[in-house]
Amino acid sequence: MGHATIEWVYVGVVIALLTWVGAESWNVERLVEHVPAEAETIKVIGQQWFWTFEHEDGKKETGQLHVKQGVPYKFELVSKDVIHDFNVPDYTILMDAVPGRVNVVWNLFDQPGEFRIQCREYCGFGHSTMKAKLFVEPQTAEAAAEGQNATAQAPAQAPVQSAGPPGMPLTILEGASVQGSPDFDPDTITVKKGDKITVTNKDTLPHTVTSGTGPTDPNNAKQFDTSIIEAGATADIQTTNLNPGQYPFYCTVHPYMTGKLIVQ
Amino acid sequence: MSPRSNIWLILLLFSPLVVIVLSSFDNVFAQESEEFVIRRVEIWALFYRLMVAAFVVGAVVQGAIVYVCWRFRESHKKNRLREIEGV
Amino acid sequence: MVLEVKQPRPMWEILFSTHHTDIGLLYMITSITALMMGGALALALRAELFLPGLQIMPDPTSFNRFFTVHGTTMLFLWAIPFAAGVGNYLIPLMVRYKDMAWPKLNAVAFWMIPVGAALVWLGFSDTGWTAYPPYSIIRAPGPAAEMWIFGLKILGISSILGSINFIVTILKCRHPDLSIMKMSLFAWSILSISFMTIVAVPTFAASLIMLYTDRLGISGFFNPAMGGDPIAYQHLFWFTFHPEVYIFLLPAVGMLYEIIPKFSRKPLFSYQSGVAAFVLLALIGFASWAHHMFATGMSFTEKTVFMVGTLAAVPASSMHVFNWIATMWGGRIKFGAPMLFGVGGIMLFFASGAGGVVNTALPLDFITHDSYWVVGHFHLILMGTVSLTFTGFIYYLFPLITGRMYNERAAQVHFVLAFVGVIFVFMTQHLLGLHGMPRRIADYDGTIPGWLIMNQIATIGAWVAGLSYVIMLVNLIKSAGSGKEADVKDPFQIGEEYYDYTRREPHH
Repeated sequence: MGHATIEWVYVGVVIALLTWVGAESWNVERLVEHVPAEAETIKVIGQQWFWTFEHEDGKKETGQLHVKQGVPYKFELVSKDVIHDFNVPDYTILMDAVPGRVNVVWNLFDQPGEFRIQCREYCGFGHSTMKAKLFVEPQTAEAAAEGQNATAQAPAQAPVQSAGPPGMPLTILEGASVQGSPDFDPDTITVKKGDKITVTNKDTLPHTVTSGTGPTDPNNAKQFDTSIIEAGATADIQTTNLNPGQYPFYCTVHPYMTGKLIVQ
Repeated sequence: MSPRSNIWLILLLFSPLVVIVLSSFDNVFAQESEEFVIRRVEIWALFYRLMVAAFVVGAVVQGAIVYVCWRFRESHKKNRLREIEGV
Repeated sequence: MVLEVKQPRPMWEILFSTHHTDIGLLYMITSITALMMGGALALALRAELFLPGLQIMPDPTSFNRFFTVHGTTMLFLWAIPFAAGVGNYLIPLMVRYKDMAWPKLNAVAFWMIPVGAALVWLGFSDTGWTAYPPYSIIRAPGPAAEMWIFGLKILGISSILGSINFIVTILKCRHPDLSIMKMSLFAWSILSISFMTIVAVPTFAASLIMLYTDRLGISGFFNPAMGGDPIAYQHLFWFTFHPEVYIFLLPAVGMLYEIIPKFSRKPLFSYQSGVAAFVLLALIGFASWAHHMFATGMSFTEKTVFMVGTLAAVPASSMHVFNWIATMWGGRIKFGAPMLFGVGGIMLFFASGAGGVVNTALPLDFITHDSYWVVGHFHLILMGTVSLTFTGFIYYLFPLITGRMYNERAAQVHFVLAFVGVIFVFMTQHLLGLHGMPRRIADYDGTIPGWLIMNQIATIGAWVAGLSYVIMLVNLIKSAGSGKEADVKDPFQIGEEYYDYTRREPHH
C-alpha cells in the first residue's frame, strides 16, 4: 500500500473540485428557479407540431409570441399530445411540456429583438419544424417604433377569417393529421382567377393551407397562406393576385398533407 | 506511512471543502431577490466559470498523458539506453 | 492457442457449439457486423445533415427511423455483445476453468441476439431509442414499435442470462488456488457489470411490457389520457439505462487494464484502487439516473440529490485514469495498435467525463439538455472511449483468435483516422449544442450562424471515422486468411506474457 498517499491526495483534489462545481451550480439554480411573485403568466401549449400561447389578458397567439422587455414572465407549459420541450436557446429557457402536467419556468427578457422558439424533445414527424418566433418588444419609445416594424414584417400574412359569401369549398377531412390518410378534399382544386376559396377544417386538430411544396421550399407561403385554422373553423384564400397556373400547397403543421391549386 | 498520518492528511485535504460549501450557502442567502436575476447571464457566467476550471484540469490531465506517452515510449533515448544496459 | 479460423471446421460445428471460444467468436462477429450496420446508418444521418433540407431521406420519418435503429444497434448489438464476446473468450482463461459455468445457457443467451436484432431491423421503429411515451404509445406507427419492444425484450433477457453465467463462472468456478483479490481486473469489470445488469435490466423489461399493453390500449400506465404518467416511464427507463452506461463503460476500463500494463512493460500501479473503483462505480451508478430528466419539471430537492449522485461517480472514474497514467509512468511503452487505441480512449474519456459534469451542473442542463451537446457528449464516451478501446481489443485478441497477426501499419492508419474523425464529429457537436441545435432533427435552418459549417465539419469527420473502420474490416478479413503467423507466446514482441492457453477441452 505504498501508493496510498498519492492516491488519497489525488482523490481529495478531485472531490474538492467536484464540491466546488456542485456548490456553484446549486447556488445558481436556486437563483434562477425562484419565480418572482409579480411575474405575468403566459400559458404555453405544445402540440404536434406547433406552439400556442395564451396571455394573461386572454390574447391568443399561434406560432409567435410577443413579450415586453424588462417584464418578468412565468411560462406555464402544457402539452396536448406527446412530450414537447419549450426552448428559447438565446435566453437559455428550456422546459418540457408534458401532457397531464403543468411545468413552470420564468424569465425576464433583457434584450429586444426577434428570437427563435423551438422544440427540443423528440415528438415525431414534424419535430424539426416545430418552431415559433419570439418578439421581445423594447420599452423605450423610439425603440418601440423599431420593434413595431419588426413585428409587422414577421408574419407572412395575417390570418383571413372567413367573411361574406362562401367561395369554392376546400375541406380538410377528419383524420387528415394521420400520415397517409386522405387530407384535402378535393386534392386538386380548380378555380377561376378572382374566385374565393373557403377552407373548412373538419378535423379535430389545427391545419393550414400554405402555398409551396413543403417547409424546405424556399418560396413557401409566398403566394397564399391561411395561417392556422383551428378545428371547426374556416378561412378564405383570395386568388385575385394569383396568375393562372398551378400552385402546390401543404399544411405547415403536418407537411405530408399536400394538394394542388389550379388557377385558370 | 502510518494510518494515523493518513487520517490527518485527509482531514487537511477536506477542510477547504467545508469553507467552500459554507461560503456558497452564505452567498445564496445574501442574494435573496432584490432585483430580478437574468437567467441567461447567470447560467452562462456559471458555464464560463466551469469551463475555465475544466480547461485548466484538462490541460493538466491531457498534458500528463501526452508527456508520459512521449517520455516513456520505447524509442525515447533514455529508454534505449536502459535496454542496452539491460536494466 | 485457439485457432478458430485457422483450422478449417465446418460452419455448423461453430454455430451449434457450446464451447466458450466458439460462442465468443460468434458474439464478436455479430457485434462487429452490428457496428458496421449501425455505422452505415450514422453515416447516412450525417450525410443528410450535411445540407439543410432533405436530400437523401424521403421524409423526416425515415430520418427518425434511422437514428432510432442506429442507437439501438450500437448499444444493444455492438457494445453489450462485444463485451460478452471478449468475456466469453477470456473469463474461463482468467478464472482457470474449462468453460463457462453453463455452456448451454451461454449458447441460448447468444442465439437470442440475432432474433432480437432481426426484430429491431425488420421493424425499423421511429420511437427514438428511448421510446418515450406518450409518443411511443399513441403516435408511433406499428408494427415497428411492437417489434422494437419485443426485440429489446429478447435482448434484455439475453444479457441477463449472460450475466448470470458470468457471475457463477467467476464466483463458483474459479480455480481454488486463485483468490478473488488475485483475479485480473478485466474479470472484476465483467463481474461488476454482470451484477449491475441483473439489478438494472429487469426494471426496463417490466416497463417494456407496460409500454406494450399501453399500446394495445388495455392499460394506461404511461398514457395521460388514461390517468397514467409519462414521467414514470422515464424514471423506470433511466433507472436501467444510467447504470447501463457503466455497463457499456466498465468492460472497456477492464480491457484498458489488460492492455496498458502489458504494453508499458510494467506491473499495474494499484490493483486495490482498481477493484475499489469498480465496486464503487457499480454502486454509485444507481444513484444518478434522474439527471437525464432535469427538464421534466423535477423539484429543486430532487435535482440536487441527483446532481450529487452524479458527481459522486466522478472520483471513482478518475481513480481509473490516475491508475493508467501512473502505470505508464516510468514504463517502456510499445505503441502497438491496441495501445494507441487505449491511450486515445483515455484522452477522450477525460473529455467526455468533463462534459458529463457540465451536464449535471443543474442550471447548465438548460443549455445542454436534448441539444447536440448531449449527442456529442455521449458519443464521445461510447464511440471515443468505449468503441475505440473495444477496437484496440479486437486487434489485441486477433492473434489469440486467428493465430495470425493483423497488418500493423493499416491498424495505425485506422487509429489516426478514427481518432481525428471522432474529435471532428463530436467536439463540433458539443459546439453545435451550445449554439442551440436540438438533437433528432431531420432538417435545420442553415441561416442560423454557425450551424451550417459545424454540421458540415461533423459530417466530414463522420465519414473519415467511417472510412477508418472500412480499413479495419479489410485488414481483419485479409489478415485472418493470409496474415503472417503470430508468435503464440508473445505476438506483440513486448516481452510480456500473452494469454497462455492451449485448448484442452474438445469442442462439445
